[in-house]
Amino acid sequence: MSDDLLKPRFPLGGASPFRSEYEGFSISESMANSFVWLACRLNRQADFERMAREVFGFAMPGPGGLARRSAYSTFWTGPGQWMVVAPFSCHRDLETLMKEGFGPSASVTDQTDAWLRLDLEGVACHTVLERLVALPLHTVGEGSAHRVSVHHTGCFLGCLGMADRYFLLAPRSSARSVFHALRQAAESVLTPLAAPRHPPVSGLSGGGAPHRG
Amino acid sequence: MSAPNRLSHRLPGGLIDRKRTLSFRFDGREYHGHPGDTLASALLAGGRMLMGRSFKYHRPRGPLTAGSEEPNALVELGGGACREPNARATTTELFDGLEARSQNRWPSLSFDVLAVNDLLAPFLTAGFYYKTFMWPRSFWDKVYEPAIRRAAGLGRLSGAADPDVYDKGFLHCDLLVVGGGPAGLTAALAAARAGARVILAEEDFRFGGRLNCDAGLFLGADQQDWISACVEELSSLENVRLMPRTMVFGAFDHGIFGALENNPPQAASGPRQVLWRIYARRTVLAAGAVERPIAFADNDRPGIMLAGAVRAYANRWAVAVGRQVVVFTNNDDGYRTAADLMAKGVEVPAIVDTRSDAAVDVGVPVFAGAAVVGTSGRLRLSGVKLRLSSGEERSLKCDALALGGGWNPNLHLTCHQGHRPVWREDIAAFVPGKAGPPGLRAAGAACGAFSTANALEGGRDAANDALEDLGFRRQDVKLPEAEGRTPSIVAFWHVRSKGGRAWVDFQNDVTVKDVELAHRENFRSVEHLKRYTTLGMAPDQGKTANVIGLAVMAELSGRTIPETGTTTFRPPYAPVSVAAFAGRSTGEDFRPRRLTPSHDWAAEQGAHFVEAGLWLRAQWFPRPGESHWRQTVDREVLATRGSVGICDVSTLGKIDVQGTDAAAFLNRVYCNGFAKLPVGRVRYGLMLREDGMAMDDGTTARLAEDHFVTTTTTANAVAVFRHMEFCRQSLWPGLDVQLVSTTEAWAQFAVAGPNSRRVLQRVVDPEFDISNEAFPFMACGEITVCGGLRARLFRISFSGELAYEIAVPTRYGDGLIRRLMEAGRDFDITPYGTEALGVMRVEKGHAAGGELNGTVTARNLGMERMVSAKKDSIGAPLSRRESLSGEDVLKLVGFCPLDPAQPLVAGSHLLPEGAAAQASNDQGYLTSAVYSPTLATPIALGFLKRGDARLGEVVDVANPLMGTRVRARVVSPHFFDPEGGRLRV
Repeated sequence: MSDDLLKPRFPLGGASPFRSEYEGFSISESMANSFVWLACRLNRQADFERMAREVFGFAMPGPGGLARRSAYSTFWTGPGQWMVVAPFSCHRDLETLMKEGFGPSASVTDQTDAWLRLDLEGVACHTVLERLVALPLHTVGEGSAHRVSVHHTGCFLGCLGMADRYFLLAPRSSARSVFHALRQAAESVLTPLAAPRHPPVSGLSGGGAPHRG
Repeated sequence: MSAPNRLSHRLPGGLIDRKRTLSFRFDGREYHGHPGDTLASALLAGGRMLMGRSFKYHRPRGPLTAGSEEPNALVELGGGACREPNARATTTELFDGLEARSQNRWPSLSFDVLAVNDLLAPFLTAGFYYKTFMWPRSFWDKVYEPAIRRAAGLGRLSGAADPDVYDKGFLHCDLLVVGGGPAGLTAALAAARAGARVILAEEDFRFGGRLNCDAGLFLGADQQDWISACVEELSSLENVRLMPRTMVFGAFDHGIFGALENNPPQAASGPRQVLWRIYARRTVLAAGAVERPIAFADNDRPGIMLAGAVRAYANRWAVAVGRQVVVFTNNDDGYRTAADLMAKGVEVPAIVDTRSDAAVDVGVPVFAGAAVVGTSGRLRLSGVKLRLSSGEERSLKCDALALGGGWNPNLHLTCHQGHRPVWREDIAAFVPGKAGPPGLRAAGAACGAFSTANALEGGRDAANDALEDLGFRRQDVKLPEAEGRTPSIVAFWHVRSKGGRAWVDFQNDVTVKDVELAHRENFRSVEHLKRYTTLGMAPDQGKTANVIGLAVMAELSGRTIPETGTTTFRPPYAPVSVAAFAGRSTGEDFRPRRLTPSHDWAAEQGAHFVEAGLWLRAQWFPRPGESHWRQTVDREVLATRGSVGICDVSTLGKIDVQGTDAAAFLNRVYCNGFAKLPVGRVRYGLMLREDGMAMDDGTTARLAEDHFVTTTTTANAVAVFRHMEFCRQSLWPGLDVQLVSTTEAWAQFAVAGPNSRRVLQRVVDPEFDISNEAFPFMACGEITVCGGLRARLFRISFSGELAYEIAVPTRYGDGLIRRLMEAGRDFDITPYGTEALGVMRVEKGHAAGGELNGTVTARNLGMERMVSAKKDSIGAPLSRRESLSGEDVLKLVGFCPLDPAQPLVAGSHLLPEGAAAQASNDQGYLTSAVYSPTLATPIALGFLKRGDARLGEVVDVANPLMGTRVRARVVSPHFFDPEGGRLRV
């Protein structure tokens, strides 16, 4: 693998994940998963569905759905398209695994580094999320995932436990903005449990004096 | 300054917590009140009636109402950056330490110099400004308007950034109940018991509506006990969200409502306000009604107040607004005010009833068929003059007048989508029409059901009907026995009298005379009336004024009120601060930012960043001693051309195109051919719009027979992806193609310059040969770097140098640039920003955003040969339109000033040498202009008529905005290494 100089960075810019805790709510950055995008090829649906059952042990979920079994979870991202999630530790090359598993019935694209994953936990999840997403949260049950807009940024919100366990996938380049929006929403209604650690600032000037002619 | 607070106007009872006393200040003077008070009720309790000055004439004013419709008692709250202008004292919840000031007066509220305007009233009628300040024209902006703005107006903003926190959010429910009075409470109860998800939004900080303000509405049960029981039950249910202090301000499409929730004053935490977007399957509008005054001479003196408000102050806030209160009414409701006041021990010298058959035996003198024709008192009412039915005039001493002109249902939300209300003669008011926002139904006073019994039933029934629609079971909510009489009214709008001005719109100082003037001058449509007189404008939007104004206009024009019509109801129902609309989106968080993988590294280097769409990109990397950005950029360009430079290009859009028909798909999307692109090769592509104009350009790499990676410009990444998805899904669903964006997944760096290969060879794993022979210009491949890390390498060049773009998974982007900088140290590897990137691409004549401006064709760009005639592709047929290929067609060429000391400016127009700078001489324009450190001269790209045939010619580059004119020679757009030899070494 890569030599010592190539240290991976977390999406929020740190060498370790960020975490913010509030009374009844926590936000945790995670890089523990591999992601690939999986799309069924034209006229290969029967093969694709058979492969899916073989590879995952379940049928691919429909719109808004999230299916999980053993190491894999998948959620619907569009007609004939899904995101596959698996632990990074044992699925570093998930793309190759999926290509081998699905053969010519699917197009597979690695998306592992395309997303910031935030795990949201606690009884106050809805209190915070209702300030961020236009989703009827009371209808979002365990085993569902939805396209949402958080601070004008297209994200996915998945529910892992009834009303108290969610994951949010945000585009990696917008990680700090989305994380900031989440923290602001949380801080407007909840009490922080510890002084939060802030990701680096993202201002227009990198520290030197403005340098305009 | 502190003064003893006598609480001289407090009555017994009321819904205030007398165990606690709150101190507050108004205009520097200390007052006291209790929890449950509003600022207005506490000031009235302290004997303070004068609370503001009117908009135009600076007339002294006291509160007219006890609610959000208040036109007079507008004050400034707080201080410093927190100052809030135009707050209604009538809805401002009192808290300890509240600071309020009157506004629109100088030097003080009781002595306002600008009250001189009132003496000039004969000249300041409607349309005064339009007629008077016409000449000289140039004076309007600099003299007239600033002077008028200083003299007239409401409160003033602090000008500082608002330090408070605002938030926004989204709520969903089966039933939204707007208003927490008797109708709203029974509606919410019915829906809540049925198990529906209910939101009950109440503008006030206390639920109950008029039940808090009127005595004796229930026949037996205690009104407050019933409210408490309702609120308690609703609070205990998980399917109910009670939202006091929440004003539903607008009804939008698809059952979406805007609501503004205020945090309680001095709350320990939470944002000051939250703007909610409520998605409701059904809505019950139970917003009650607003009382209206009667217009008569000098009806605006402090102490003249709506009858329902007088009653509310007495019953809810235990405040007598005066010691002697005359009632002037055209309906039964005025009698209720008199009865409640007398029950509290307040003297009511008389009831003046415009109806000739008015009841006379109510324990107080009643003047039937009479009217108030004038008032006296400067800062406070001291008496009224009556005209009796006999014609005799009589004066009465009093310090308050309760005005009851009838009630207008609060139907605004039913009209926000363009629906019109209908007139009901029996109650002399507009009520919601049958057509309205889908799923919304009014109940109680909001639909003209003015008795308490009707309100209770109406709320419950409206909710039950909505529930039934949604599949819930109807609920039989037991209602308390309540009065069921609808007050009788005989419409009476204004008192005709000689002299004196009769106010229609208190907030905008519009009088009956102004309406008459508008009529005389033929501004008779209600919309014209509104604009000409300003009736119904300003923060209160004429809630107490509009119907009277319509009635006066109807009378003058001989039409009925419904024939006269209403102006358009638009959100918001009451003012919403801009801060609430902004919510969390302020300052740097106004919009999301996208950061490149090397952002933190670039920041460490002191990079100066530039916004490119949502991206922040390093624009240049200044070094110590460089005092001007040009020095930095020149150095970066020369270093790259001289040795090696590195630039983060991760922002370019990257689209994974897969499928057995991927090549065929790209062949149709791009005007040039892609079907035969070999695996392991890259090709430049030009994408046209359907109309033949250039849409975007970029390179596409073929990684496998069925796998391509297409790049787009940074700015067009989303638009191109959307376009390609449209093509895939809608134009050619029969092609086996799958698309996904991978922009975020890869960190990509351009490594450019004669030493770029040497640097890369130090990071690319040795099993990959990237020599010129093995990895020639326009090659691409999947490789590993730094001991096994997967990567992609593309031999492409935007700079015109030997160059590569290397991509690694984004998490390693920061590590890779540090590694490359280390690897290139002995080559003096230089990071360069978007400015140097731009200079080098102009030197090479590459088109970019300036050139791809949406109006140019491949022919304009000199790329007509790229539009393949051997295949069909989007835009190709229309790119061959005759009109696009005339003799005078614009062609992309280069320009060099004859005098290198004279810079060229993008956007400048091209003129024949010596021709006048006018449109008829225009021959084209510059699209990109830079200083080329390589050529030591300013250079530019631009479109010139027949430019390719005019190389060597001299033209004038004119910039009329800056007043410059530079002579420049037309040259090839390829300023540097036109043969491209440097790319291929």
